[in-house]
Amino acid sequence: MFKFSSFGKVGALAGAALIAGTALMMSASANAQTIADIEAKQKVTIGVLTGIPPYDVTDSSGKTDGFLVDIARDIAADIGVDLEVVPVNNASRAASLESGRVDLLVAHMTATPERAKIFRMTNPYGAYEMRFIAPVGMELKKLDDLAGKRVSVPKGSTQDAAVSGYGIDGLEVVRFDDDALAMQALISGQVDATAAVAAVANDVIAKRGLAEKFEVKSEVPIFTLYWSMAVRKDAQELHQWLNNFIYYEEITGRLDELHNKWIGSPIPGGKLPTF
Amino acid sequence: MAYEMNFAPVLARAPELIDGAIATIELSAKSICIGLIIGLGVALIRFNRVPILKNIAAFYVETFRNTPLLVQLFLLFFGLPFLGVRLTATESAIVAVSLNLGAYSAEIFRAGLDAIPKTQIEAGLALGLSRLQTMRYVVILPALKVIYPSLTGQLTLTLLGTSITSAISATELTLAGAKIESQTFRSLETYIVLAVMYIAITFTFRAVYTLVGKWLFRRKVPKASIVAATIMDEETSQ
Amino acid sequence: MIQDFGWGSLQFLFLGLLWTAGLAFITFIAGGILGMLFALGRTLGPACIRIPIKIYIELIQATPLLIVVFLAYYGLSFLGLYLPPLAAAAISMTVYATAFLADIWRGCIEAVPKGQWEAADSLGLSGSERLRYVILPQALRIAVGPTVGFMVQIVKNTSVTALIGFVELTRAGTLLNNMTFQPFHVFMSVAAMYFIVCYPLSWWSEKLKERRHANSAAN
Repeated sequence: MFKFSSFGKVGALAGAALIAGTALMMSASANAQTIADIEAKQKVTIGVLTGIPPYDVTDSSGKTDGFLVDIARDIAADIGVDLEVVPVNNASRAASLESGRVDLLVAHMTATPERAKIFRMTNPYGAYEMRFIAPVGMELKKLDDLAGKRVSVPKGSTQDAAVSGYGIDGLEVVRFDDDALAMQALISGQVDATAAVAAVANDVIAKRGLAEKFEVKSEVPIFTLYWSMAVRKDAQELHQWLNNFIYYEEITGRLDELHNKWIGSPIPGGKLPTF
Repeated sequence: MAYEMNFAPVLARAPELIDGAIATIELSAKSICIGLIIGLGVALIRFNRVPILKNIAAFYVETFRNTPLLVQLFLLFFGLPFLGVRLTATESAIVAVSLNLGAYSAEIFRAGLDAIPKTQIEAGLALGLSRLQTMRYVVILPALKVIYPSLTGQLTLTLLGTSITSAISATELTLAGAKIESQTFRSLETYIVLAVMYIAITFTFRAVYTLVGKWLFRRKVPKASIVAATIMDEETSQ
Repeated sequence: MIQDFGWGSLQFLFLGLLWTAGLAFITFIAGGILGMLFALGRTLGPACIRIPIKIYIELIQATPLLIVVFLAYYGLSFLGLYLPPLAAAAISMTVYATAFLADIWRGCIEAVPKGQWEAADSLGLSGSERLRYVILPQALRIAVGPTVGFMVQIVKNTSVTALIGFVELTRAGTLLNNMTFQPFHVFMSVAAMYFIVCYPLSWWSEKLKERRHANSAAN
C-alpha cells in the first residue's frame, strides 16, 4: 500500500536542501571582532538607522544616504576597506548586531545602562534634543499640561521610556513602530502631541508647510541626549578604535561639518561627553 | 553567544496580556457582528441583481479582497483625517476589519444562496409550508449548513487578523505584547506567549462554533475550517 | 530630506512591488513543495507522520501570521542564525503557506472519488504509479482554482513582513510616507498596486473554479 521509496527520496532531497541552505546562510556571517579581521575581509558591514529624515534620505532605487551613512563612509575610509551599509530600524537594529549580520551599529542608539548590558557603547558621536511637538494653539509650558492628553512615541524608544515614566495623570502613551509613524499620527490629528527629535520635527514642519499648525514646544525640555555607536561585547579593539575615530572626527570639526550638511546646524549641546 | 530563555518578566505582566486578550475578543466580536450584517446585505444585493447597487457591491467586494488589511488600516487611520474624518485607532480597526469580513462573507453567503435550487422552494411551498417556514427550513438552514465551515473558518481568520491592527496602535493583545517586549527586551518569549494565547482563544472559539453548529443543525456537524473559507468549495470541505 | 509625492515616488513604490512579487514567488515555490510533501504525508503516511503534520497545520492555522513572522525573525536570529529580513520573511511566509497549502491539497486529494483508488489498484498499478498517473492528476485539477486563490492571499499577506523591516510594497509605502508625509497619496497608490497584481489572480481563480464545476456537472 504505502511505498516508502518515492516518498523517502523526495523527503531526503528536501532535507538535504534545507541543511545546505542553512549552512550557506550561516557561513555568510563573518563575525569580525578586530580591526585585523575587518581588514582581512576587506569590508566593514555597518548597520545604519533609516527612516529618520532629515538624518537620512532614501532614493527611488532603495539606496540610503545621510548623516549616518557619511559617518559610516568615514569609518570605512579610515580603516581602509569597502563599506557595506545595512539599513536597520528601531526594531531590528539590536538583532542585526547580535546575530553577527553587522560589525557595528551607527544607529542613533542612546547609551542607556540596559543597552550597555548587552553591547559595548562608544562615546557619543552626536546629540539631539528631545522635545514635544504639538499644535500651535496648544498650551504646553510644563509637563503637567499633558494631563489627559494622548502622546505618540516610537515603541521601545528613549522617548517612550521617558514619557511613560513621568507618571502624569491621564496621560495616554500611544506607541507606533517608528518615529515617522508617530509624527504622522500627530499630523493626522490622531494624538495631541508627539515626543520627537527637535531637528527632525523642525524639518518636517518646514518642508510640509505646517508652521501654521505645529511647533516644537521648547519650553518643556524632555532631555538632550547623545547617540553612540554599538559593537558586540567582545569587540574591545574595535570599540577603542571607534572611540578614537569619534574623538578625531570631533576635534577636526568633521562631525559638525556633516551634521551641518544634513541638519543645517552644528551638533547641539557643545562638546560631546565621553565616558 | 548562548541565549537563555526567561519567561518570568513576561509572565509577570500577565494582567496586561489578559486585558489585551479581552480587548482582542471585544474587537473581533464587534467587527464580526458588523461584518456579517454587511456581508449578508451585499450577498442579497448581488443575488437579486439589484441594478446599480450590484455594481457598487462588486466594486466593494473586489477592492477589499484584493488589498491588504494593513494598507487599509493605514489609509483609514492616517489618511482619512486629511479628508476631514478622524477615526480613533479602535474605530479604524473595527471599520477595516468589518469591511474586510463583509467582503469575504458576502462571497460565502452568495455561494450558500446559490446552493439552494429554486425547486426546493417550490417543493416547500407545495408541501404546505408558509413562506416564512419555507425560508427558514428549506433555504436558510440548509444554505447555512453548506457554508458553515467556510464561514466559521473566515471568522477565525478575522480574529487572527486583528493582530495586524496593532500597527496603528489599536488596543489588543499583540499591542500589549509589543509593549512588554520593548520594555523587557524578551522578544522571543513574548511572542511565544502571544502565540499560545492566540491558539487558546482560537480553539475556544472553534469549540463554540462547533456547539452552535450542533444546535443549529442538530445532525451532522460541519467542522470549522479555515481552508474551506479559503477554497469556498463545498466539494472539498468536510 | 522631505520630498513631494511624485513620479519618483511611484518608481520607489514599484521597486517595493518587485520585492513583494519576489517574496510571494519564493513563498509559493517553497511552500508548495513542502505543502505537497505534507499533504501526501497526511493522506498516505503512517500515524507517526500524519499526526505531527496535523498538529503543525492546526497550530499554524490558529496563530496570527504576524506572530509567526515575529517568531521566525526573533527566534531564529537569537538561535545564532544569520537572518536578514528577506530570509526571515521567506521562512515565516513559507511556514504559513505550507500549512495552508498542505490542508488545501489534502482536501483535494481526498476529494478524488474512492473508486479511482480502487480502480487503479485493480489495474495492478504500484503505489507511486497510482499516485502519479491516476490520483494526483485529478487532485491537481481540483486544486488549481483554490491554489490560485491562495496565491492572492500570499501576495496580500507579504504586507505583514513590513513590520519586521523587510522592504516590500507596504514598507516602501511607509518609508515613502516618512519622506513625504502624504499618507493618502502614498497608501492609495500602494493599495492600487496590490489591486493590480491581485485582481487578475482572483479573477482567474474564480474562472478556474467555475470551469471545474461546469466540468463536474457535465460528467
